[in-house]
Amino acid sequence: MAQRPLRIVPKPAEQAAPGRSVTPTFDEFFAAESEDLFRRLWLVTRNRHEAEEVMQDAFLSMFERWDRMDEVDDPKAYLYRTAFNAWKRRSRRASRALRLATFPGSHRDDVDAADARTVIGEALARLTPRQRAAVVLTELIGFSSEEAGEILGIRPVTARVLTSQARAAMREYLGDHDE
Amino acid sequence: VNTSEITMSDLRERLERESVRVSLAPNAQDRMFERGERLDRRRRAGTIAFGLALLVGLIVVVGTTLPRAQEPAAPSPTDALEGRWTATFTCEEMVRAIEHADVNPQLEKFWRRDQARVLGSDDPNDPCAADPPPLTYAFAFHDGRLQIFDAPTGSEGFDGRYELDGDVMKVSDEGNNIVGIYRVAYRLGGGTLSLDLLGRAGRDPFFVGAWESGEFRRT
Repeated sequence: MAQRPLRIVPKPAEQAAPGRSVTPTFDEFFAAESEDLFRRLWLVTRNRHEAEEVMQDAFLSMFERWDRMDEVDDPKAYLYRTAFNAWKRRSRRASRALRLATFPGSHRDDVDAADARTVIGEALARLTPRQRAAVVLTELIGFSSEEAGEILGIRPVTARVLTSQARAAMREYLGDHDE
Repeated sequence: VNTSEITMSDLRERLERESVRVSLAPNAQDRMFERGERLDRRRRAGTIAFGLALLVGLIVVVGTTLPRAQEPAAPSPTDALEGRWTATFTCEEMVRAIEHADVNPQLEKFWRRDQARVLGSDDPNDPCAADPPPLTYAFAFHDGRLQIFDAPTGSEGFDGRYELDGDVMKVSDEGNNIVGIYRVAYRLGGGTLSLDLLGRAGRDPFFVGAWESGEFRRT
Protein backbone atom coordinates (compact mmCIF):
# COMPACT_ATOMS: atom_id res chain seq x y z
CA MET A 1 0.00 0.00 0.00
CA ALA A 2 1.24 3.44 -0.88
CA GLN A 3 2.62 5.58 1.89
CA ARG A 4 0.60 8.63 2.77
CA PRO A 5 3.09 11.42 3.46
CA LEU A 6 1.23 13.10 6.26
CA ARG A 7 2.90 14.89 9.10
CA ILE A 8 2.35 14.35 12.76
CA VAL A 9 3.94 16.24 15.62
CA PRO A 10 5.81 13.78 17.81
CA LYS A 11 5.86 13.88 21.57
CA PRO A 12 8.90 15.75 22.97
CA ALA A 13 10.70 12.54 23.97
CA GLU A 14 10.28 11.17 20.48
CA GLN A 15 11.48 14.39 18.94
CA ALA A 16 14.75 14.10 20.80
CA ALA A 17 15.32 10.46 20.03
CA PRO A 18 18.13 10.13 17.52
CA GLY A 19 17.46 8.31 14.31
CA ARG A 20 13.68 8.43 14.68
CA SER A 21 11.62 10.09 12.00
CA VAL A 22 9.84 13.18 13.28
CA THR A 23 7.28 13.00 10.52
CA PRO A 24 5.70 9.56 10.72
CA THR A 25 3.19 8.74 8.07
CA PHE A 26 -0.23 7.43 8.84
CA ASP A 27 1.03 3.98 7.92
CA GLU A 28 3.83 4.24 10.50
CA PHE A 29 1.40 5.42 13.15
CA PHE A 30 -0.92 2.52 12.32
CA ALA A 31 1.94 0.03 12.48
CA ALA A 32 3.06 1.39 15.85
CA GLU A 33 -0.31 1.57 17.60
CA SER A 34 -2.74 -0.85 16.00
CA GLU A 35 -1.68 -4.03 17.77
CA ASP A 36 -1.79 -2.54 21.28
CA LEU A 37 -5.10 -0.82 20.65
CA PHE A 38 -6.61 -3.99 19.25
CA ARG A 39 -5.50 -6.01 22.28
CA ARG A 40 -6.86 -3.49 24.77
CA LEU A 41 -10.15 -3.30 22.91
CA TRP A 42 -10.30 -7.07 22.93
CA LEU A 43 -10.07 -7.01 26.73
CA VAL A 44 -13.05 -4.68 26.80
CA THR A 45 -15.20 -6.21 24.07
CA ARG A 46 -14.10 -9.84 24.59
CA ASN A 47 -14.63 -10.32 20.88
CA ARG A 48 -11.87 -10.19 18.25
CA HIS A 49 -14.14 -9.15 15.40
CA GLU A 50 -15.72 -6.32 17.36
CA ALA A 51 -12.33 -5.20 18.70
CA GLU A 52 -10.90 -5.00 15.20
CA GLU A 53 -13.89 -3.09 13.85
CA VAL A 54 -13.74 -0.56 16.68
CA MET A 55 -10.01 -0.19 16.07
CA GLN A 56 -10.66 0.31 12.34
CA ASP A 57 -13.31 2.96 13.08
CA ALA A 58 -10.85 4.86 15.26
CA PHE A 59 -8.00 4.76 12.73
CA LEU A 60 -10.32 5.63 9.82
CA SER A 61 -11.59 8.60 11.78
CA MET A 62 -8.00 9.73 12.36
CA PHE A 63 -7.06 9.09 8.74
CA GLU A 64 -9.79 11.47 7.59
CA ARG A 65 -8.30 14.18 9.81
CA TRP A 66 -4.65 13.25 9.40
CA ASP A 67 -3.71 16.53 7.72
CA ARG A 68 -4.83 18.35 10.88
CA MET A 69 -3.16 16.00 13.34
CA ASP A 70 -0.34 18.47 13.95
CA GLU A 71 -2.84 20.37 16.08
CA VAL A 72 -3.22 17.37 18.40
CA ASP A 73 -0.85 17.25 21.36
CA ASP A 74 -0.94 13.52 21.92
CA PRO A 75 -2.11 11.50 18.89
CA LYS A 76 -2.01 8.24 20.84
CA ALA A 77 -4.36 9.60 23.52
CA TYR A 78 -6.54 10.99 20.75
CA LEU A 79 -6.60 7.55 19.13
CA TYR A 80 -7.72 5.88 22.35
CA ARG A 81 -10.38 8.52 22.95
CA THR A 82 -11.69 8.03 19.44
CA ALA A 83 -11.65 4.26 19.80
CA PHE A 84 -13.49 4.19 23.11
CA ASN A 85 -16.03 6.69 21.79
CA ALA A 86 -16.60 4.38 18.83
CA TRP A 87 -16.97 1.45 21.22
CA LYS A 88 -19.51 3.41 23.30
CA ARG A 89 -21.59 4.21 20.21
CA ARG A 90 -21.57 0.58 19.16
CA SER A 91 -22.50 -0.53 22.68
CA ARG A 92 -25.45 1.83 22.73
CA ARG A 93 -26.64 0.53 19.36
CA ALA A 94 -26.14 -3.05 20.53
CA SER A 95 -28.12 -2.37 23.72
CA ARG A 96 -30.98 -0.92 21.72
CA ALA A 97 -30.92 -3.89 19.35
CA LEU A 98 -30.86 -6.27 22.31
CA ARG A 99 -33.84 -4.56 23.88
CA LEU A 100 -35.73 -4.93 20.61
CA ALA A 101 -34.73 -8.56 20.15
CA THR A 102 -37.31 -11.22 20.85
CA PHE A 103 -34.88 -13.43 22.75
CA PRO A 104 -33.60 -11.48 25.72
CA GLY A 105 -31.23 -14.23 26.89
CA SER A 106 -28.59 -13.51 24.26
CA HIS A 107 -25.61 -11.46 25.32
CA ARG A 108 -22.78 -10.14 23.19
CA ASP A 109 -20.29 -10.18 26.02
CA ASP A 110 -18.40 -13.43 25.48
CA VAL A 111 -14.89 -14.51 24.61
CA ASP A 112 -14.32 -15.95 21.16
CA ALA A 113 -15.08 -19.62 21.29
CA ALA A 114 -11.70 -20.49 19.83
CA ASP A 115 -9.85 -18.92 22.73
CA ALA A 116 -9.04 -21.03 25.72
CA ARG A 117 -10.45 -19.31 28.78
CA THR A 118 -8.11 -18.08 31.46
CA VAL A 119 -8.84 -17.14 35.06
CA ILE A 120 -8.16 -13.48 34.37
CA GLY A 121 -10.32 -13.71 31.26
CA GLU A 122 -13.16 -15.19 33.28
CA ALA A 123 -12.73 -12.45 35.86
CA LEU A 124 -12.95 -9.81 33.12
CA ALA A 125 -15.98 -11.50 31.60
CA ARG A 126 -17.84 -11.14 34.89
CA LEU A 127 -17.48 -7.37 34.85
CA THR A 128 -19.88 -5.03 33.12
CA PRO A 129 -18.58 -3.53 29.87
CA ARG A 130 -18.21 -0.14 31.56
CA GLN A 131 -16.24 -1.65 34.44
CA ARG A 132 -13.96 -3.42 31.96
CA ALA A 133 -13.45 -0.21 30.01
CA ALA A 134 -12.66 1.72 33.20
CA VAL A 135 -10.13 -0.81 34.48
CA VAL A 136 -8.43 -1.18 31.09
CA LEU A 137 -8.22 2.60 30.62
CA THR A 138 -6.85 3.30 34.09
CA GLU A 139 -4.95 0.20 35.20
CA LEU A 140 -3.57 -1.01 31.90
CA ILE A 141 -3.28 2.04 29.66
CA GLY A 142 -2.61 4.46 32.49
CA PHE A 143 -5.20 7.17 31.96
CA SER A 144 -6.23 9.13 35.04
CA SER A 145 -9.79 8.88 36.34
CA GLU A 146 -10.46 12.31 34.88
CA GLU A 147 -9.22 11.23 31.45
CA ALA A 148 -11.06 7.91 31.63
CA GLY A 149 -14.22 9.74 32.64
CA GLU A 150 -13.87 12.10 29.70
CA ILE A 151 -13.31 9.23 27.29
CA LEU A 152 -16.27 7.26 28.61
CA GLY A 153 -18.51 10.30 28.85
CA ILE A 154 -18.97 9.95 32.60
CA ARG A 155 -17.92 11.98 35.62
CA PRO A 156 -14.42 11.29 37.03
CA VAL A 157 -15.95 10.08 40.27
CA THR A 158 -18.03 7.55 38.33
CA ALA A 159 -14.90 6.38 36.54
CA ARG A 160 -13.21 5.93 39.94
CA VAL A 161 -16.19 3.99 41.26
CA LEU A 162 -16.28 1.74 38.20
CA THR A 163 -12.55 1.07 38.44
CA SER A 164 -12.81 0.35 42.12
CA GLN A 165 -15.72 -2.03 41.61
CA ALA A 166 -13.81 -3.78 38.83
CA ARG A 167 -10.69 -4.14 40.95
CA ALA A 168 -12.63 -5.54 43.89
CA ALA A 169 -14.55 -8.00 41.75
CA MET A 170 -11.42 -9.18 39.98
CA ARG A 171 -9.46 -9.52 43.20
CA GLU A 172 -12.20 -11.58 44.68
CA TYR A 173 -12.53 -13.82 41.64
CA LEU A 174 -8.79 -14.26 41.24
CA GLY A 175 -8.44 -14.97 44.93
CA ASP A 176 -11.02 -17.71 44.72
CA HIS A 177 -9.78 -19.30 41.53
CA ASP A 178 -5.99 -18.93 41.40
CA GLU A 179 -4.04 -21.91 42.46
CA VAL B 1 -3.88 -17.29 46.95
CA ASN B 2 -5.42 -14.88 49.37
CA THR B 3 -7.38 -12.00 47.84
CA SER B 4 -5.24 -9.42 49.57
CA GLU B 5 -2.11 -10.90 48.02
CA ILE B 6 -3.17 -9.83 44.52
CA THR B 7 -1.62 -6.41 44.12
CA MET B 8 -2.51 -3.84 41.50
CA SER B 9 0.80 -4.29 39.72
CA ASP B 10 0.02 -8.00 39.59
CA LEU B 11 -3.42 -7.19 38.16
CA ARG B 12 -1.85 -4.92 35.55
CA GLU B 13 0.66 -7.55 34.60
CA ARG B 14 -2.01 -10.21 34.32
CA LEU B 15 -4.18 -7.94 32.18
CA GLU B 16 -1.18 -7.31 29.95
CA ARG B 17 -0.50 -11.04 29.65
CA GLU B 18 -4.15 -11.67 28.90
CA SER B 19 -4.18 -9.04 26.19
CA VAL B 20 -1.19 -10.48 24.31
CA ARG B 21 -3.07 -13.72 23.84
CA VAL B 22 -4.60 -12.18 20.76
CA SER B 23 -2.92 -10.61 17.75
CA LEU B 24 -4.12 -8.77 14.73
CA ALA B 25 -4.22 -10.95 11.64
CA PRO B 26 -1.82 -9.86 8.86
CA ASN B 27 -2.87 -7.08 6.45
CA ALA B 28 -4.92 -5.30 9.11
CA GLN B 29 -4.46 -1.95 7.43
CA ASP B 30 -5.67 -3.23 4.07
CA ARG B 31 -8.73 -4.72 5.76
CA MET B 32 -9.37 -1.40 7.45
CA PHE B 33 -9.31 0.60 4.21
CA GLU B 34 -11.41 -2.02 2.41
CA ARG B 35 -14.02 -1.76 5.16
CA GLY B 36 -13.83 2.04 5.02
CA GLU B 37 -14.53 1.93 1.29
CA ARG B 38 -17.43 -0.49 1.84
CA LEU B 39 -18.93 1.83 4.46
CA ASP B 40 -18.46 4.81 2.13
CA ARG B 41 -20.18 3.00 -0.73
CA ARG B 42 -23.04 2.05 1.58
CA ARG B 43 -23.36 5.64 2.76
CA ARG B 44 -23.35 6.93 -0.83
CA ALA B 45 -25.90 4.30 -1.90
CA GLY B 46 -28.08 5.30 1.04
CA THR B 47 -27.87 8.95 0.07
CA ILE B 48 -28.70 8.19 -3.56
CA ALA B 49 -31.62 5.94 -2.55
CA PHE B 50 -32.94 8.67 -0.26
CA GLY B 51 -32.60 11.28 -3.02
CA LEU B 52 -34.38 9.05 -5.53
CA ALA B 53 -37.18 8.33 -3.07
CA LEU B 54 -37.55 12.07 -2.51
CA LEU B 55 -37.58 12.73 -6.26
CA VAL B 56 -40.18 10.01 -6.89
CA GLY B 57 -42.29 11.47 -4.09
CA LEU B 58 -42.08 14.94 -5.64
CA ILE B 59 -42.94 13.61 -9.09
CA VAL B 60 -45.94 11.77 -7.68
CA VAL B 61 -47.12 14.90 -5.89
CA VAL B 62 -46.62 17.18 -8.89
CA GLY B 63 -47.87 14.63 -11.41
CA THR B 64 -51.03 13.62 -9.61
CA THR B 65 -52.08 15.77 -6.67
CA LEU B 66 -51.37 19.17 -8.21
CA PRO B 67 -53.13 18.69 -11.56
CA ARG B 68 -56.10 17.14 -9.81
CA ALA B 69 -56.26 19.95 -7.32
CA GLN B 70 -56.23 22.46 -10.13
CA GLU B 71 -58.56 20.53 -12.40
CA PRO B 72 -61.23 22.87 -13.70
CA ALA B 73 -64.63 22.47 -12.20
CA ALA B 74 -67.34 21.19 -14.46
CA PRO B 75 -68.72 24.04 -16.56
CA SER B 76 -72.30 24.96 -16.80
CA PRO B 77 -74.32 22.48 -18.87
CA THR B 78 -74.52 24.85 -21.79
CA ASP B 79 -71.72 27.14 -22.81
CA ALA B 80 -70.85 29.11 -25.89
CA LEU B 81 -68.43 26.47 -27.16
CA GLU B 82 -70.70 23.44 -26.69
CA GLY B 83 -70.64 21.41 -29.91
CA ARG B 84 -68.21 20.34 -32.61
CA TRP B 85 -65.81 22.71 -34.36
CA THR B 86 -63.41 22.00 -37.20
CA ALA B 87 -60.52 23.90 -38.73
CA THR B 88 -58.93 23.10 -42.08
CA PHE B 89 -55.59 24.53 -43.13
CA THR B 90 -52.59 23.62 -45.20
CA CYS B 91 -49.38 22.14 -43.88
CA GLU B 92 -47.59 25.35 -44.82
CA GLU B 93 -50.07 27.43 -42.83
CA MET B 94 -49.46 25.19 -39.84
CA VAL B 95 -45.66 25.56 -40.16
CA ARG B 96 -46.02 29.32 -40.46
CA ALA B 97 -48.11 29.40 -37.29
CA ILE B 98 -45.35 27.54 -35.51
CA GLU B 99 -42.69 29.88 -36.91
CA HIS B 100 -44.62 32.97 -35.81
CA ALA B 101 -45.22 31.64 -32.31
CA ASP B 102 -42.68 31.76 -29.56
CA VAL B 103 -42.36 27.99 -29.28
CA ASN B 104 -39.69 26.06 -27.41
CA PRO B 105 -36.91 25.39 -30.00
CA GLN B 106 -36.22 21.87 -28.74
CA LEU B 107 -39.89 21.03 -28.80
CA GLU B 108 -40.17 22.51 -32.29
CA LYS B 109 -37.48 20.15 -33.60
CA PHE B 110 -39.31 17.27 -32.02
CA TRP B 111 -42.63 18.50 -33.43
CA ARG B 112 -41.19 18.84 -36.98
CA ARG B 113 -39.79 15.32 -36.87
CA ASP B 114 -43.10 13.95 -35.55
CA GLN B 115 -45.22 15.80 -38.12
CA ALA B 116 -42.85 14.78 -40.95
CA ARG B 117 -43.41 11.16 -39.96
CA VAL B 118 -47.19 11.61 -39.69
CA LEU B 119 -47.45 13.49 -43.01
CA GLY B 120 -45.13 11.16 -44.94
CA SER B 121 -42.21 13.56 -45.36
CA ASP B 122 -38.67 12.23 -45.86
CA ASP B 123 -37.19 15.43 -44.46
CA PRO B 124 -37.39 15.43 -40.67
CA ASN B 125 -37.13 19.24 -40.65
CA ASP B 126 -39.84 19.84 -43.24
CA PRO B 127 -43.21 18.22 -42.47
CA CYS B 128 -44.64 19.59 -45.73
CA ALA B 129 -42.05 18.06 -48.09
CA ALA B 130 -44.49 15.37 -49.24
CA ASP B 131 -47.06 18.07 -50.14
CA PRO B 132 -49.86 16.62 -47.99
CA PRO B 133 -53.54 17.55 -48.60
CA PRO B 134 -55.22 20.17 -46.33
CA LEU B 135 -55.35 19.16 -42.69
CA THR B 136 -58.58 19.11 -40.69
CA TYR B 137 -58.64 19.19 -36.88
CA ALA B 138 -61.94 18.66 -35.05
CA PHE B 139 -62.65 19.95 -31.51
CA ALA B 140 -65.63 18.51 -29.64
CA PHE B 141 -66.80 20.49 -26.58
CA HIS B 142 -69.40 18.69 -24.49
CA ASP B 143 -70.36 19.14 -20.86
CA GLY B 144 -66.87 20.27 -19.78
CA ARG B 145 -65.11 17.60 -21.84
CA LEU B 146 -62.87 18.51 -24.77
CA GLN B 147 -61.84 15.94 -27.35
CA ILE B 148 -59.51 16.78 -30.22
CA PHE B 149 -59.35 14.63 -33.34
CA ASP B 150 -56.07 15.09 -35.15
CA ALA B 151 -55.30 15.51 -38.86
CA PRO B 152 -54.80 13.67 -41.06
CA THR B 153 -56.29 10.47 -39.63
CA GLY B 154 -59.03 11.93 -37.44
CA SER B 155 -57.89 9.82 -34.48
CA GLU B 156 -58.37 11.17 -30.98
CA GLY B 157 -55.25 13.08 -29.92
CA PHE B 158 -56.56 14.77 -26.77
CA ASP B 159 -59.21 14.03 -24.18
CA GLY B 160 -59.42 16.48 -21.31
CA ARG B 161 -61.54 19.01 -19.44
CA TYR B 162 -62.22 22.67 -20.12
CA GLU B 163 -63.72 25.53 -18.18
CA LEU B 164 -64.69 28.96 -19.45
CA ASP B 165 -63.65 31.94 -17.39
CA GLY B 166 -64.75 35.12 -19.18
CA ASP B 167 -63.04 35.06 -22.57
CA VAL B 168 -60.41 32.58 -21.39
CA MET B 169 -60.70 28.81 -21.55
CA LYS B 170 -58.78 26.71 -19.01
CA VAL B 171 -57.82 23.29 -20.29
CA SER B 172 -56.34 20.28 -18.52
CA ASP B 173 -56.03 16.53 -19.11
CA GLU B 174 -54.72 15.03 -15.84
CA GLY B 175 -51.16 15.41 -17.00
CA ASN B 176 -51.38 13.24 -20.14
CA ASN B 177 -50.42 16.08 -22.49
CA ILE B 178 -50.54 19.12 -20.24
CA VAL B 179 -48.77 19.72 -16.97
CA GLY B 180 -51.24 21.68 -14.88
CA ILE B 181 -53.50 23.96 -16.90
CA TYR B 182 -53.21 25.64 -20.30
CA ARG B 183 -55.00 28.96 -20.73
CA VAL B 184 -56.47 29.88 -24.09
CA ALA B 185 -58.15 33.14 -25.14
CA TYR B 186 -61.12 32.40 -27.36
CA ARG B 187 -63.13 34.68 -29.61
CA LEU B 188 -66.50 33.85 -31.16
CA GLY B 189 -67.91 35.76 -34.09
CA GLY B 190 -70.08 34.95 -37.08
CA GLY B 191 -70.03 31.20 -36.48
CA THR B 192 -66.28 31.10 -36.19
CA LEU B 193 -64.00 30.41 -33.28
CA SER B 194 -60.47 31.81 -32.98
CA LEU B 195 -58.09 30.49 -30.37
CA ASP B 196 -54.99 32.17 -28.95
CA LEU B 197 -52.84 30.07 -26.65
CA LEU B 198 -51.56 32.04 -23.64
CA GLY B 199 -48.36 31.69 -21.62
CA ARG B 200 -46.87 28.18 -21.52
CA ALA B 201 -49.49 26.91 -23.93
CA GLY B 202 -48.21 29.30 -26.61
CA ARG B 203 -44.75 27.74 -26.45
CA ASP B 204 -46.02 24.19 -27.08
CA PRO B 205 -45.81 23.52 -30.85
CA PHE B 206 -48.16 20.54 -30.68
CA PHE B 207 -50.89 22.87 -29.38
CA VAL B 208 -49.96 25.85 -31.57
CA GLY B 209 -50.13 23.69 -34.70
CA ALA B 210 -53.60 22.35 -33.96
CA TRP B 211 -55.18 25.36 -32.23
CA GLU B 212 -53.78 28.46 -33.94
CA SER B 213 -53.21 27.49 -37.58
CA GLY B 214 -56.72 28.36 -38.75
CA GLU B 215 -60.20 29.50 -37.79
CA PHE B 216 -62.70 26.94 -36.49
CA ARG B 217 -66.22 26.61 -37.80
CA ARG B 218 -69.12 24.98 -36.04
CA THR B 219 -70.11 21.73 -37.75
